[in-house]
Amino acid sequence: MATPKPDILYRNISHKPPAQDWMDLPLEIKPGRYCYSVDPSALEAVGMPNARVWNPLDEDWKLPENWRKTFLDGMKDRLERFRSFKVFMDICVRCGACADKCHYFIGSGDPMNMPVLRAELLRSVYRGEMTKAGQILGRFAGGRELNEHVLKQIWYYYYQCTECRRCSVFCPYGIDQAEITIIGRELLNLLGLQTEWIGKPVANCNRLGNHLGLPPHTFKDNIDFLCDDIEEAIGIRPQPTFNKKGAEILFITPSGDVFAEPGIFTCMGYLVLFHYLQEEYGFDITWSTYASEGGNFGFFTSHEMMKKLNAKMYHEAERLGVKWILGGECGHMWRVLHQYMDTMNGPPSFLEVPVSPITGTRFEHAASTKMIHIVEFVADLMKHKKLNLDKSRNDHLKVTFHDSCNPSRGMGFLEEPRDVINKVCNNFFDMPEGTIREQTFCCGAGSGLNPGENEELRMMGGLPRANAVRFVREEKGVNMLANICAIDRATLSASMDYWVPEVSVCGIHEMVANALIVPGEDRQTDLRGEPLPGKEDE
Amino acid sequence: MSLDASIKQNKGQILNLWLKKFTDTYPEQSAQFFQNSPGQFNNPVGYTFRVNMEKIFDELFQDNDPDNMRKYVDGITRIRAVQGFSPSEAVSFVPMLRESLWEVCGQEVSREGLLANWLELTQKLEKLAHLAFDTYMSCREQLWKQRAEMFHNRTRKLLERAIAKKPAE
Repeated sequence: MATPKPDILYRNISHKPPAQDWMDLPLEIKPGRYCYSVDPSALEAVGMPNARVWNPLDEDWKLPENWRKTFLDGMKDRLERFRSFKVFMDICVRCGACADKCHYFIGSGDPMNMPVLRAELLRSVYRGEMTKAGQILGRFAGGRELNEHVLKQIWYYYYQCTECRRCSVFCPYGIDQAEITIIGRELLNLLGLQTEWIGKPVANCNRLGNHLGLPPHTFKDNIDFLCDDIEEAIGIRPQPTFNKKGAEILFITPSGDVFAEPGIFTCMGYLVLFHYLQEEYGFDITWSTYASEGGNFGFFTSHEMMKKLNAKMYHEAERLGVKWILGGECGHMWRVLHQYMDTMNGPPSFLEVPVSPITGTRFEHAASTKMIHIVEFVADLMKHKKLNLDKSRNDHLKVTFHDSCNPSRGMGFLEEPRDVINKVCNNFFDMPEGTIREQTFCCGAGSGLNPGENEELRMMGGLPRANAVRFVREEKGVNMLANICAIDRATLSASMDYWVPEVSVCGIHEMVANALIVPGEDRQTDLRGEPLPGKEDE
Repeated sequence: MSLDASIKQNKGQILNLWLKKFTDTYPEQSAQFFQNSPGQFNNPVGYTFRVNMEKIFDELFQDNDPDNMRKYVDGITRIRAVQGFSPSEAVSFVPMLRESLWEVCGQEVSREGLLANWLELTQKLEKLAHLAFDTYMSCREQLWKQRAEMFHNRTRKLLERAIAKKPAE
């Protein structure tokens, strides 16, 4: 066959998508936009149903025989149990206020990523299968039957939502798409339709206490290696304690900070800070090798799994006999804690209302959960001038701050991180209004969407955030993007590499430790081993 | 009137047509959003397309500096490279510029006998197409590199430490 001429080939390329109703659109599962399916052993390990080998790209997903009944019964059960879900299924008027607020829609141009349409995937099933109007009028009333095509659509797009809740900020009814996605994923989990990057960490966390599945001695070894690195950088070796019974405070942080860059520098920051506080004020804090994870991937699985994984932190606090819990820089750990923990597992009567042993500040807002965030703890230390700091050590950095969705939008943590940054560096520049604080853009890969095989999705979702970073890069010369979430540190590093390669990523406590003047220190470099400003030639 | 003068005179019309053609490669609702929604930060895709298309247009008819052109082409192509388009669709903004120029100024080219100028212009556009394709490929390669590095970094530290703890005998 003769090779066609270029103009003939080009003529056959249609740039115009078909004008069809969204319900009729064919589903194309694109590589780079979905996460691999979970290995059955991970589901079996936690007793989740319908564990099997399946591939999203196959026609046959090997669904259980009664899958429709399982899904619909599950939905009915949740409509009765969760008033919010029932209300969110009923009250949307499709005004479109949320439509252009999702980072995945803004970055991809896929209309199914408009929050209203993503919710409509589930709502159409609710109407079609469970309301009189939908059963009689069908799609005229916005209803449709649940079939395999619809199920696959739900799976594909509910794993393209990071539960960041930006859309809910703009919804006049306050509909929280994250709550809908949580329930949607819960229903998918009834059919074994989990992803590897969520399922495996859940199984690991359930058995060994952290997502990576690090056994206690390996977890301790990793911290010890970080102490070696600190000794090399500042000439002092911290002496953290592990599982110390009777310690005043239990510290829990995401395990991602213990093993991967740039999170390890944040973890080194905690270790330096705790060493300083121990030497100066007799601070008594311990790490746990059993509750060695702040993150809670159960949150992306089911309410029951979230509760179970959250409970391990409190069980460990009770076992060790600590007074309260201090949490590290993490995202959804704080959402779970702030929004669900008290109902699920609280209040823990065996703990006390957190009181800073150094300043005496009583953190009344945590009177029920008995757990506070390290940024508010440190902001309080700084307010009472309890830290000896040299801001100029961070003079080589021009810093901007990414408000992580869960601590900022989820729990109102807006001023404390900025306060701490401003006290440890001289060059801080906020990104433009509409891209920060309550309206912050997601990093692009929260809620278990950060595995790597979905690189295109991560980059599309990260575009709105990176676009704002690029603006402060061009206007102010920003070269460091600070944040307080382990997933941010992993995701934004890749996102910056692709969109704004001149900008690096760090946790706030890396900068805190770099500025901290530790008695007896001998430091020429920062925690990354880079020369401190003014020490480049030494 | 020369071809250059005609093109410059109709710059606004050509740019609007070009942007419309390009954003029409997205589903209808998204095309409307990319074309019409204001804001550098609320609509980064549409904004980046609009700004870089104008810069490419100006550069093409002014200095045609390769470094500048690479930057502007990168702005558009970097976005298209992650949006699931085929390579030809991803860089289709170049042939669409040619189409837009012809639709607005084609009659004048025929009427005024400016075919030689038109051929000269299409040669410039060919180079632009090559540049766009090279940029697209470098973006795709970067994505694969990032994937590989991510999997590598996930275990590198653990392996490094395991090896440091138990040196090979």
